Amino acid sequence: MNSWWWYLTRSTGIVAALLSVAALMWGFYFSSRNMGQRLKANWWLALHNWLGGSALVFTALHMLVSFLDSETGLRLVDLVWPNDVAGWEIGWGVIAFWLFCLVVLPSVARIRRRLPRSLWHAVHLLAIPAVVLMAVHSLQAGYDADARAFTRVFALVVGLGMYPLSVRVLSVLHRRRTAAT
Amino acid sequence: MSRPIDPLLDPRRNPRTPSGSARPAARHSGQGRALPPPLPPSGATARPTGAAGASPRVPQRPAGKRKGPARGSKIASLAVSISTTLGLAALFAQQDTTSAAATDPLLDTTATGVTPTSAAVTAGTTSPATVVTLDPASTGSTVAPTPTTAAASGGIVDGTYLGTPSTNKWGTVQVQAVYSGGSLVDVQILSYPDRDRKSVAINQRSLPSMINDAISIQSSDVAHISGATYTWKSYKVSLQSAIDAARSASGLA
Amino acid sequence: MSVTAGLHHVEMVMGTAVSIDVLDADDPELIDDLVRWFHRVDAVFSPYRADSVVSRIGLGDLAEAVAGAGDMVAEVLDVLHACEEMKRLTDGVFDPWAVQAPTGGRFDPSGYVKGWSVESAAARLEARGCRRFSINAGGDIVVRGRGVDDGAWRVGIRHPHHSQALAAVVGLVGPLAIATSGSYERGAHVVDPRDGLTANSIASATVIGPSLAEADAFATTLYVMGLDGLAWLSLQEGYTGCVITHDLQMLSTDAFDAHLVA
Repeated sequence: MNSWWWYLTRSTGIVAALLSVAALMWGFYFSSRNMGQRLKANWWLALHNWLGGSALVFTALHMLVSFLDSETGLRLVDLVWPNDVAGWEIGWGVIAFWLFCLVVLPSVARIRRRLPRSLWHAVHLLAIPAVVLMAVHSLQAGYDADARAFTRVFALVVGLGMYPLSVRVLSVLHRRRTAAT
Repeated sequence: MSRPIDPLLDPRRNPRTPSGSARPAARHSGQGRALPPPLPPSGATARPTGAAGASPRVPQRPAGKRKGPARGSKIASLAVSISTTLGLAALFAQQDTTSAAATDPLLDTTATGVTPTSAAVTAGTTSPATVVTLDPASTGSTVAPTPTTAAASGGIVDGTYLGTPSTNKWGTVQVQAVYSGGSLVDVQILSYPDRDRKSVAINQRSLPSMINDAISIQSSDVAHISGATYTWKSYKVSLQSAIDAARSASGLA
Repeated sequence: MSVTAGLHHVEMVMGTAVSIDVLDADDPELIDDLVRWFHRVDAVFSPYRADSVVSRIGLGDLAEAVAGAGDMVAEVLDVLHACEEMKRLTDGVFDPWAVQAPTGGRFDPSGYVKGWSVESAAARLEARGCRRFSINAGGDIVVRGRGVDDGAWRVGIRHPHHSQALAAVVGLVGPLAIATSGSYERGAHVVDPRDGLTANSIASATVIGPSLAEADAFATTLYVMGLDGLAWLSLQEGYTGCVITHDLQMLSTDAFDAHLVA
């Protein structure tokens, strides 16, 4: 059973990473309003919300399972606060988790409605550093990060992600240009 | 039964709400940006016939989509996430079990063709070829050392095995197990250290657990740190890189 | 850190960082020679590269393995036989054939290769007249002669819980090697080949002795065996060691304590 905690730690981490990247891509695509007629805006948004929530859930699962695995030597405090004993390989992941919480929790409809939109949006953009820190954590602490399959999937995801990112950036630039005229 | 039905409650009024609820909008809350709910008919436009009760501008939608946008995709993504998690975990488990049952390619001439010179030496010698320490608590399905025959099935190779010494009130004992034909045929209790093992004087000291009490790198002026192998990724955040950087900066090439 | 003359170089190779310190020479060509050597070793022996000789052996492609080895065929066979000998000496605990290599084969001698390649590099420097130098490959170190200020080479043993602190400091006067095995860098990756389970009874094990290749294999073995391993290690002529348990007890033999300076 001990080994299964270890396998699940790795697999939940991988799935949480993929979900968070997908949520980010969906978010970029949705916010650029450039998604064509076939899939409606509410489909993108609903799925973006769902993916973001799933990513947070799987991240929490990943942290829980890694804690339950007696061989990782992680203590409860290591999951909550970056520290020297666990090292920065874990610490970046912990910070990424807190950033994800800041991104997801205020976006729950009840809370979001009470926040001024610009504040909510500024906090929501923390998703970007969150995903970057998560990638750093996966490369530094990830047991599977050495595997060739991992580096190939990583490269593929980064490559695929360039499209929604550029769509978003271009739409922002376009809006600024039209607003300036 | 003869009382007239209140027009607001007439189920024929709102053909898109089969349950007859007068407030279908309640089902959409919390689902993100859903379509605006159909306007409840005002009293002035109420008609007992109930034809086209809601605003004609809102398009008809099939009953299935009513449950929320992207519901199918959500279920699909959840199913994919869970199955991927379990599938990857199973893959990792399978990788670990196949490695434990590996045979020795140096001795397996069909696989690698490497000249099995060492195998020629040990092949044919009867047990005990070498003595191996086993944990007596193990369940016994361990891989044998320097197999005299290729232990392809992972069974215990004939020989005599010693367990690790354990201490109890009668002293320190060791268990010796003899395997023949793949099964355990004899177990003996030996006393330790009569089996040619040196008794070694071990010194024990406690290390401080708080980092402030431990020896610091700066004050100890070490040139190198011996630790568990760091990968080149963790090297960057490791102390060795700080030491190397300091030594480079202080004038070495 | 006192400033010294000499050569100092860090090279990322063999999956880790190799730090080279030469105190009694100035010719950068010495470093270039070592760097070339380590990269050749990496190409032939890396378990991470599917086209390396070692991976091909593990996967059973012997013809390509021999073709790829080029002029290193003799070295490859030396390593194979040495690994077999190591497996015998450690009662099967050090077993390159029991681990699954990252490329999928069933042969991963990297625990031995790293130390062996460093010892070979040290021999190359000695052949060119160097007498005082140290080479550190990812935490496994060889030293020759005396260190800075003509004292012993000071080597710290990492504290298992704090990456920025030390458990102890040893002074080494060459030719000596020191290797440490533990789980705190890469998590539970050391597998006991005897039962396929990850070894975790102690936090780290350190071995000092004349050859890094053997010290490396012995450190891994000591780590897997745990406290019992100290008795086994004392049977190996010339080698001494210590283990650190999870609750920070450091257990060592007298011979090891003779090296302690702090």
